[in-house]
Amino acid sequence: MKLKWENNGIKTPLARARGLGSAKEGTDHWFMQRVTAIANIPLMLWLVYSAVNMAGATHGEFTSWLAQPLNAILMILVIISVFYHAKLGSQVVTEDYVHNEGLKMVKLIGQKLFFLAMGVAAIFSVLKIAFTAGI
Amino acid sequence: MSGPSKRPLSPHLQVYKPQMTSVMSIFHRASGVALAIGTVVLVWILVAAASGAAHFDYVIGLLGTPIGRLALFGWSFALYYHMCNGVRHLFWDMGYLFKLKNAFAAGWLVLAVATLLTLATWCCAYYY
Repeated sequence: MKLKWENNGIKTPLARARGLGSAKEGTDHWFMQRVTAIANIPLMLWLVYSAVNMAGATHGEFTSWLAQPLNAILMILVIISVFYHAKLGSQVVTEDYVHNEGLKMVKLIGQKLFFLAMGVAAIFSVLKIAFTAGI
Repeated sequence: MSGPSKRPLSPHLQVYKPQMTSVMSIFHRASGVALAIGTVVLVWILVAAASGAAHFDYVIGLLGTPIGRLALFGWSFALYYHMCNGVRHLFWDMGYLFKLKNAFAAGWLVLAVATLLTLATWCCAYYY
């Protein structure tokens, strides 16, 4: 596939640059990767601490633990921050290593939808447990 | 400028002698990809827990098998490595650790701390 920025001798420099990324976004990708990275540090330490604490827990013990507001809130924050970070990171990996334009687009869109779907599934599950466990 | 440059592009990775800094950089990406895939397990546990005790017991049973424990162990090291090396990256973002000596020292520190945290976590999981 012919790449958009390849010079075919007819296009002006502006025409080649158009559609190759928005100047409006600026450093948003880079910055949000750092913001979520910083958020992930305490959140993931809490997740590992909780996992170690909950090792061997029964279904009832686990759901009543997750139903406590603090735990449910932290778990939802983990999901949002981690999946946002994973989406940003995997996007860069795909952009760097997948050179076929069509395949790259399929992977980028697929990753976005995948992490969104995973996040929604996880958050719904936490909310369901939080609102129904122990009733 | 007429057309794309005909000069050689940057040579492929394998012609370079591996150095601690470059190898750690590659493993930062690799661990990130592994962790992104590993989040599926977290989602699986949560969805299973929301679906009922039988589903939950099935997932926890799988994680309790030797292969499951090995995956969790690898996941925990990938997490601590990515976390510690991520902090190293944040220091670079702030303009520190650019002297070669400091970059290497921080690299060894990352490896040491990630290993210690992994072992400490599993000691806690088994003996605490």
